[in-house]
Amino acid sequence: MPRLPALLRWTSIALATSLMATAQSWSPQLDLGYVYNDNVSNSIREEKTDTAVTARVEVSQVRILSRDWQSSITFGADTAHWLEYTGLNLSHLDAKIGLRRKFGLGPYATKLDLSFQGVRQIGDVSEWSGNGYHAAMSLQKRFTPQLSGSLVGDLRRLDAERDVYSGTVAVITSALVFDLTPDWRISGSLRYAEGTQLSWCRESFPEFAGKGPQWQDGIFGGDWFPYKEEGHLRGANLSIGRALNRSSSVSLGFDASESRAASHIYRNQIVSLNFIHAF
Amino acid sequence: MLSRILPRLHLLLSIPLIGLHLPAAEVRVAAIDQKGLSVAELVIWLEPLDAPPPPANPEELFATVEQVDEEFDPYTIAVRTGTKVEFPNRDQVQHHVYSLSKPAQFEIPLHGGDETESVVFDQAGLVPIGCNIHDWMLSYVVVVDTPWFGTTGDDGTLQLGDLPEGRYKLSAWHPRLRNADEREITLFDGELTELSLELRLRPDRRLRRAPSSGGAKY
Repeated sequence: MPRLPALLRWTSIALATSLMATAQSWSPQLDLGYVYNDNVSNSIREEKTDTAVTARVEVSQVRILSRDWQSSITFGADTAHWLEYTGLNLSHLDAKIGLRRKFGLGPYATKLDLSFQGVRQIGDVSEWSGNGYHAAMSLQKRFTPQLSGSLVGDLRRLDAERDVYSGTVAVITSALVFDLTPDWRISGSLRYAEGTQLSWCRESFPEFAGKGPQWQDGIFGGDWFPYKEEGHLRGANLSIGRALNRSSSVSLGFDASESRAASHIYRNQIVSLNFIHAF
Repeated sequence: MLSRILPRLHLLLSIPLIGLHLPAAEVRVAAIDQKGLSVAELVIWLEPLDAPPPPANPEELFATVEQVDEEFDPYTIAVRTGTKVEFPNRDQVQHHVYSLSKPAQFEIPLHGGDETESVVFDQAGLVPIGCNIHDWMLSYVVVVDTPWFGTTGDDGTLQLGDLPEGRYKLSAWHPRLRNADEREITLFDGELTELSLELRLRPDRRLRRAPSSGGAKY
């Protein structure tokens, strides 16, 4: 499989953005980010650190079905370009349908959202490309004009061209959002995930010594190879955001997680900076 | 002969009436907050205390609250009891206008493309208006039973004229005021009465509209 040239990927994002910005009755949104991950290899030792620039554009449309029901459809495209380990680069094209049940009128009514998202993943490592889906259910409740909370259950599945990248993960996330002022927002979340964990390891690590040669994707060079295991993850996220105007905001986030499986424990600390603009 | 003179006589008699300036009072209100900043979008109305308010002119009982760029415009508006308020959707996206208030409970699902529905506000009181899709959208219709009302401009001022001489209850309301500011004033024919209001506003607690990373927009 030929690799998708980075220029083509970014051009597609730019084109989609300009097209979406002119679209009628759709609500386009652009998200540009910068991510630092202290363990992109998800490894138990010799952790690889890298930073990425990310971009996502999406357009969504909401339809009123009845007093209590709304539907939505969203088309999106995103990409992440890692500065050092470019084999980690992934892009996605996705389409999502959503159904919202609002238990009453107004901002304080509890919202139940169901969504199903089909995803096409394109990786610089072609074997990482594949098709997947996200199915999600969330409950949202606003308690005051400043405070709202949510509980989200998410099931994610990827069928990649090489099985080692394929997997299923179920995630439960609880989040609180507090608007300190109309401009400043602080939000925090806790999550628990169970399912497939993708990691990289070296054949020379004692945990894998003597297990024979493994398929190497070349992302980290040398004798690094990808492997997957079933395990669970506990994570926490804290972010602070500032609205620049009613259509744009910036946010700074910190995410820490610990993943445990039978043969490994690894930790990730991620710092992200995002600019979001709704057209 | 008489038929030719009478219309001209009528014309001659009406000339002094056109130039006649009936004596009336005027009031000019300037509102500032505790920081000394002008208070815009402050709703002000005057209720006569010495006589009942004059009957409404049906042609004037009409107002508009637009939905444009996913906001209500205006944010605050005063209308007289019995006013028909139109809610045209100038956006291409859908809106679902509603109010749960006591004076007026209603819902209008609007599907975009200049679609318009209207509601008659026949009870005095405060009517907060929202959009069930875009929770940040908010507007306040203050329904009053008097013909003398308005909202302050960006400079925090409002001038009302053609008021009969007498005592009035002046009320001022803003979404950031806990209660309406009320005071009694006396107006005199041919005089402009100037009033300064110093209001203690609460923090702006409108729902944030700006998007967040990873979050659903609607």
